[in-house]
Amino acid sequence: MNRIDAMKCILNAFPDQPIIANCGATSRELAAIERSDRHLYILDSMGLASSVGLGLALALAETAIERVVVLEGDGALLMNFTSLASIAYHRPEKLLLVVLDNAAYASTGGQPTYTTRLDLAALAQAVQLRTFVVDGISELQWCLKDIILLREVIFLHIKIGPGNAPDIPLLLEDPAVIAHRFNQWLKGAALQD
Amino acid sequence: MTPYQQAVIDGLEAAGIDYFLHVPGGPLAPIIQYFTHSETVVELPLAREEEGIGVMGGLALGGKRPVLMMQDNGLGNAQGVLATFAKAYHVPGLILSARRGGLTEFNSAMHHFTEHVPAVLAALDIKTFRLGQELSPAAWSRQLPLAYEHSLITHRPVVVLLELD
Repeated sequence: MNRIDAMKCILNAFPDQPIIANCGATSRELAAIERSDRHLYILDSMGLASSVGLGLALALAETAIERVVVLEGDGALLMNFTSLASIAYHRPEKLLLVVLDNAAYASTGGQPTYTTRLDLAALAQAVQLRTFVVDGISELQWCLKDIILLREVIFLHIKIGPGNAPDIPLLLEDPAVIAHRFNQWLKGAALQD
Repeated sequence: MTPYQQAVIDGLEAAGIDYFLHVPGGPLAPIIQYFTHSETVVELPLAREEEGIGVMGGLALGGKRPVLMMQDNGLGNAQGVLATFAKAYHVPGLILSARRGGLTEFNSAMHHFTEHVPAVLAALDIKTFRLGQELSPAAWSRQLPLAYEHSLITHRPVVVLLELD
């Protein structure tokens, strides 16, 4: 399973929920699948997507939004690792933290990350997060059907293959425009009954 | 609780904040303690300043009125995402930062960063206000809501440097 295949499954499972995407290939490939206002593409600030997701999930606790989905990479989570502890401590029940783990910094040349030796799912379980681990498309699809029914913070560890999808265009939008479009969508979606 | 610490509390309540995010800091302890027991403001401890910028941004995007409090040496941990997320994405938010490195400083390494905080923030083009004790506590309380509104109307993060000791 590659990154794009995994993200397509997640988009299908959560077709009308906000999605916050990590920098680099994750954001570019997500935008290439579908450039949507409900996506917040974090173009730099590696590792911050999970923190933004924590804040957003808390803010939307009493709204019609059912899930805040964060798409992190393994290297990104490791770069802001205190975020895992903060999420476990505050336990925002609408947050779904997805880690797309290729055991490499794929956006910077494929250098190996710590996950070549460390198990992120075990670390998530150690901080008492409800954790799912998948490494195939059909397994992911089944797992997402279960996750949709749950109302608690979840850590979804998806093992993906190395490398990036070919011929994906750069994402060169002004970050202020990305945030404005996301915010306008959010206001509309959150206000719905 | 000093009059200036009380003034920060009064100013934040006048600003109508609903989330109080904080990373530990000695001069901030009574303020943190106060909001821990607040019935109207959600107190949210965080482990590192950098993630505080992200959590505050998520809350602001979700329509909340968060404030993030830290020591000014913590701005060193936060400066990258302050520029590439909060400022770049036009996410408003108020960051209160207590100055360290002054005449009462006891840490012999602290000043190597804290002396340069205003210059670092200026270099990053982060709007910064300073509240010193030449002003009265009442003036602090009046200016904090204005700093919050400045963040909202300019669609940018605003840092207020507090000289609490």
